[in-house]
Amino acid sequence: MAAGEIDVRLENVSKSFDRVEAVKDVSVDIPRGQFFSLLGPSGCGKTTTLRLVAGFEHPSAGAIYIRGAAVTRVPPYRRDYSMVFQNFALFPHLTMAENVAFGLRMRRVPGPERARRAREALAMVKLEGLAERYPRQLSGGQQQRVALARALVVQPAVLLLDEPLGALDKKLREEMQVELRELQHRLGTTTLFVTHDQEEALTMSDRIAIMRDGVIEQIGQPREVYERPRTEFVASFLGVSNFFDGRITAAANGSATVDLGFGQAVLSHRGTVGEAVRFAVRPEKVRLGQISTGGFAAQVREIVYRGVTTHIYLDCHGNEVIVFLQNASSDALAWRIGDAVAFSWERDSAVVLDRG
Amino acid sequence: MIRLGHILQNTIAGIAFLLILGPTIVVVLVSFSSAETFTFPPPGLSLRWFVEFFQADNMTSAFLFSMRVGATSAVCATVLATLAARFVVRQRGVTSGLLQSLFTAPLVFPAIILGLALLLFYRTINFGGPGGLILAHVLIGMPYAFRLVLASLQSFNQTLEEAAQSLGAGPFRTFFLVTLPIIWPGVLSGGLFAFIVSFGELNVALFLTGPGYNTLPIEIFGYLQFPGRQLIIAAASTLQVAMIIVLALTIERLVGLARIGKS
Ligand SMILES: Nc1ncnc2c1ncn2[C@@H]1O[C@H](COP(=O)(O)OP(=O)(O)OP(=O)(O)O)[C@@H](O)[C@H]1O
Ligand SMILES: [Mg+2]
Repeated sequence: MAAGEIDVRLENVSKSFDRVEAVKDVSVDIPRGQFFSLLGPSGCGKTTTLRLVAGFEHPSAGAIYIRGAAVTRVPPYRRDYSMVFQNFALFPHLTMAENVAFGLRMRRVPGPERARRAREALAMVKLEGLAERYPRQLSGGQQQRVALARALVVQPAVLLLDEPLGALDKKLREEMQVELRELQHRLGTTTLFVTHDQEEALTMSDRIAIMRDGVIEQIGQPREVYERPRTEFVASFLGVSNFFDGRITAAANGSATVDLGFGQAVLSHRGTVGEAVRFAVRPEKVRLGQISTGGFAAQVREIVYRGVTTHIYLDCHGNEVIVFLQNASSDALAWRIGDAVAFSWERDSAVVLDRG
Repeated sequence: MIRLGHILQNTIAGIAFLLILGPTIVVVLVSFSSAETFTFPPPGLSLRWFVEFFQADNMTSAFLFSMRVGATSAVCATVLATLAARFVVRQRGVTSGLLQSLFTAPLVFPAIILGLALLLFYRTINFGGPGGLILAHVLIGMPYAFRLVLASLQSFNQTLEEAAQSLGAGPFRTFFLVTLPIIWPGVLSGGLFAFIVSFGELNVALFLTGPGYNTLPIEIFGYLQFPGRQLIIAAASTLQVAMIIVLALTIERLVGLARIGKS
């Protein structure tokens, strides 16, 4: 990819407030048109990172580029981006049409063109009928759409979104996720999206960065970060994982045999004999069978029926193992609490984690 | 029991109101008196003292001068107060509290000392006249305007300013297109308050007025020292009270407006 196509670049950016180091040495490249999510628990520095790009905070170290231009010392109003705020931040004294036209007015777009583009933007979010209403006369979902129209109408180099769906109820949020994603695809606007909702991040993103305590732990496509988590934090924050510890007893040709204490597992891993390893296995990748089918022996401790899936909690020599079974047939429902079972997984389902 | 408590409460409230408003009511009633001297209740009603007030050159010119001083100092005080309040809301914790006390300090400073201090200060830098009085009233009015503007800024959603900036508005346009249109009731209330304070101010004016530039309170004060035509003072006071009531009601409305605007 040519360097010119990077719309947002953070280069070793750090930010400290008085005593807190909110963002630590973060480097990110977002190519044109990509939907990029920052995902992490509360207080991990997502908003701060976004505000650094927006120019509302100034980095303690590092450099920020938008469309190749160094903006580290540029005030917010001279940076080529627009933003949707968590609580929408619509101007209460302006109508919807005026709200949407605000950015165009700041860019000195002449009146008639401004009105036309504002109208089109409102139509784009399916709100053309509400142009003359004031923000307080609209529902949360409608306000959200106007905020989106207001941000998109200026055709920014990058769209910044700080938990824009956080204030909506679950159903509406899921609708808006799809709508936002469609719109983003259609317009091809480079997007930096902040959320603490892992499902939202998986649903919407081209690429996800998982943040923890101001540090980006892993960046990758949704599937990559879900299936190949690099750290225990990523594996447990994004979905659910079973963790196992063991020591390598034999290693050859990129595979390692690990002693788990209750059995032996073979991993795709280049290690040395004697090395301690920790690895994760997703609950939906664990197979469950009768003792006779082979695998690690365990006992069913709890069964939770969840509609699409059934969650089965196993006790394996004091270790808890979770198994998700699809309710495709009634097989999953055949198990009973107390049953002796055997579980196993395909070799590539086990992901060895970095020692952190 | 509840009824008795109620009656007691209302009686106390009534007495308090009477104590506060009584003297003012007496003055207002007396200003419509037809009598030559102060008698209460007035023997008959007339507007003669108002006519006399408007015929007395020194009174009308003092009235107009007070209006000018009030308006000018209120505008200056409000502009300064708004700048100060904008700065203060951006601070956090201790700094914010410290600055707030600093900007409202003139409120608790005895006006008579301020008057004397300013008089001495103006002497040394060879300054004075109407400008000196206006400057003094700016100092006196600013804390009031500051409080009101600060209150409206504190309930103002700061994210709106960031939203404006994110859409390309610089500080100037952000303030005039977003902040001011939302907080204007507070700013205008602050200005009116500063005006009222200046309009009725006597202590500092005593030191800083002079021949040819007397405010209405000074003129009234002067009248008190001479016998005769004393009820003209009552008329002047009634006019002053009427003006303050109108302004106070306006402020009341504006503060209500500000509250509605927030939602
Ligand atoms: N203006 C500030 N002054 C001091 N500390 C701050 C400031 N802004 C953020 N912080 C601190 O920086 C850290 C990161 O905050 P940030 O708002 O970026 O988290 P976040 O990931 O957006 O969390 P959330 O999901 O709760 O919104 C927190 O510890 C927070 O207390
Ligand atoms: Mg946040």
